[in-house]
Amino acid sequence: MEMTGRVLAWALVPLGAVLPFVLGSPYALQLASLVVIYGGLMVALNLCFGYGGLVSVAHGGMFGAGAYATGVLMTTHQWNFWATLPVAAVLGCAMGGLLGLLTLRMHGHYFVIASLAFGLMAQLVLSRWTAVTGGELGLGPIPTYSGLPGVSFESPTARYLLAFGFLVVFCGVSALVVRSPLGRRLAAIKQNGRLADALGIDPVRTRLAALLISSAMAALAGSVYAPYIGFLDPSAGGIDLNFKTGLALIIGGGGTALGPVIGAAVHVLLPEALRGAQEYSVLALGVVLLVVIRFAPHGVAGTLRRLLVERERPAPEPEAEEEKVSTNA
Amino acid sequence: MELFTQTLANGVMLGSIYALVAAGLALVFGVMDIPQFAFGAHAMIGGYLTWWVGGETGSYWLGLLVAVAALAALGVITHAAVFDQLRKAPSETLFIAAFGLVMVLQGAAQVIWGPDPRSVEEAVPGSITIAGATITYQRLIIIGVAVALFVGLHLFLTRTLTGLSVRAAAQSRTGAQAVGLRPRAVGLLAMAIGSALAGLAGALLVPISQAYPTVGDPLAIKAFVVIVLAGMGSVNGAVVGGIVLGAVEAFGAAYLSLEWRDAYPVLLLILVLVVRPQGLFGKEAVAWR
Repeated sequence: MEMTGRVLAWALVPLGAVLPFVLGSPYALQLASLVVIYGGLMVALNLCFGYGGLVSVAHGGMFGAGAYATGVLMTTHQWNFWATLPVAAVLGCAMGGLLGLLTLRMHGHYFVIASLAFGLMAQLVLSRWTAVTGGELGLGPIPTYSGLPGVSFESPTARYLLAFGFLVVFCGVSALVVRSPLGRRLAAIKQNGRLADALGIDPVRTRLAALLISSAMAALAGSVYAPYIGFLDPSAGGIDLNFKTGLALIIGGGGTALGPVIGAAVHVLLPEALRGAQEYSVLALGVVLLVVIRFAPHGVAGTLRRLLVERERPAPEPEAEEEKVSTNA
Repeated sequence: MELFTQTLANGVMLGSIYALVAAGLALVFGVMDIPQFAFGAHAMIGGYLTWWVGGETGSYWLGLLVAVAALAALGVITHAAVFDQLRKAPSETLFIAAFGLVMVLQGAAQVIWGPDPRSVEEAVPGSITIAGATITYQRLIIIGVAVALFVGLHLFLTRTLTGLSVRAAAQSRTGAQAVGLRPRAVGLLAMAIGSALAGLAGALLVPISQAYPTVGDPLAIKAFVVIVLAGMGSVNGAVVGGIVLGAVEAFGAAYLSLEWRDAYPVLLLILVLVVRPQGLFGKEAVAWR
C-alpha cells in the first residue's frame, strides 16, 4: 500500500507538468494554475492540520502575509520576485512562531481559537494598514514573476509550470518532514499525546517545529500567488479563505499525500462548477462537508487509501490510528 | 462625561448580547467539549424568525418566543444529526463540522430570504436619557432580558436537579455516568439551551442590526474570545467576560480608534493567552491539561 501510494503520487508529477499542453483553453489553464497555487497552501496546512493534528485557522493569514510581502516589495519597491521569497518565508515563520509560543502549551481547542484570532488579526492588518497594503482598495498591478537567466515567465504556460514547480518542492519537503524523526514524533503525539510525552517526546518543541515549517510554506505559497493574480485585496488573506481551505482539506483528506491536491481542486473548481447557481453554492459546500465528515472522515484520499489497503491486504481493516502510524513508519 | 456614559451603555448592551451567546457556548463546551461555532448562525436564524413571525403577526414578542423555541428545537436536531454522530471523532473534526453547519445555515438563509437585509421595528420605540446618555428602549430591553436570563440560568444550574446534573456531567462524564446520569441526554439539553440562548440573542439584536445571512459571524467569533477570556466551561465567567468584551470594544472604538474596533477583542484574547491562559475564572488544571 505504501508503495502504491508513493508510485501514484510521483506518477502525478509528469502528468501535472504536461497538463498545460493538454488543456485546450486559457480558462482551463488558469483554473489549473490556481489549483496548483492553492495546492501549496493546502500542503502547508496539511502538515500542520493533517499530520500534526493542529487545526489552524491562521494559515490563510500567513498566505496573505506572504502574498502581500511579495506584492508590496515588487510593486512599491521594485524588488525582484526571487528576492522577496526569503522575506515572505521569514514573515511566515515569525507568525507561526508567535502563534505556537502563545498556544502550544495548552490543550485542544485553545490552539484553534488562538489561530482564529491570528487569522482575524492578519485580515485586519491587511485591510486597515492602508499606507502599505492599500487597504480595501487593494494592491496592484503587481508585475509578473521576474525571469531567471535564460527563462522568462511571461506566458501562461510558463507561469503554470513555475507554480507547479513550487508545488512539487512543497510536496517534497512535506514528504521529507513526514518521514523524518520529526514527522514520526508528530504522529506519535497526534496518536497518543500522553504516551508520547512519557516516552520523552517534547510535544511543544515538536509541534512548534512543524508549525514553523508549515507557516513558512504557507507564506511562500502566498508569494507565488501574488504575481500570478496581479492584484491583491484583503480577502487574499481573509478568514473566509481559512475556513474554506480547511474544509477543502477535510474533503480531500487530511494526513495524506494526495489530500491537499484534491482539496485544492475542490476549493477552486467546486465554486466554478456551481457558478450558475451561486445562491446554492454555500449551502452545497456545507452539505458536502457534513456528509464527508460523517461518512468518509478521512476524506477522498483517505477513503481511496483504505480501499487500496483492503484490496491488497484482505486482513480485517486496521483501526484508523494504526493506519496513520504504518504510513509514517 | 456624556461620551463616557454613552459608551458604557453601548458596551453593556453589546456585552449582554455577547454574554448570551457565550453562556450557551460555555455550557456546551463544558458539558461536551463541542466547539459549537454555529451559534452565531443560530443567532442569525433567530433574527430572521423574529422578523418573519413578528412581521406576520405584528408582535415582536411573539416573534421572539417563536425564535427561541424554534432554535431550541434546531439545537436538538443538529446535536442528534451531527455532533452526537461524531462523538468519537477527534476535536478538530467537531470544529470543522460546526463550520459546515454555519455554511448550511447561511446558505439556507441566502436561498430562503436572499442577501438583502431585513429590518425589524423596535419593540418599544423611543429612548430615554440617563446621565447624559441617550439609550433606546430596545437597548434597555436587551439588557433587562439578558439580566433576567442570567439569573434564571444561574438558579437553574445551582438549584434544580436537572441543572445540577448538567454541572455534574460537565465536571466528570464518567462520574456522572457512575451515579446514574445520562450524559447524552444532558448533552442534548445543554445544546438546546445553548441554541435557544443564541436564538434569543439574535431576536434581541435584530431591531438594531437587521437580519442578513452573515450577521451572526462576529457573534460566533466573539463568543469564543469570551470563553477563553472567562476560562472554558465557566458559565458565570462567560457572562462577566461578555460584558467586559463589550465594554472593551465600545471604549476602544470611542476613545482609541473606530477603524480598529474589531482588533480590540483579538488583542484582548492574545493578552489573556499570554498573561492568564486559564482565563479570568478558569482553574489552572483545566487549561493546562
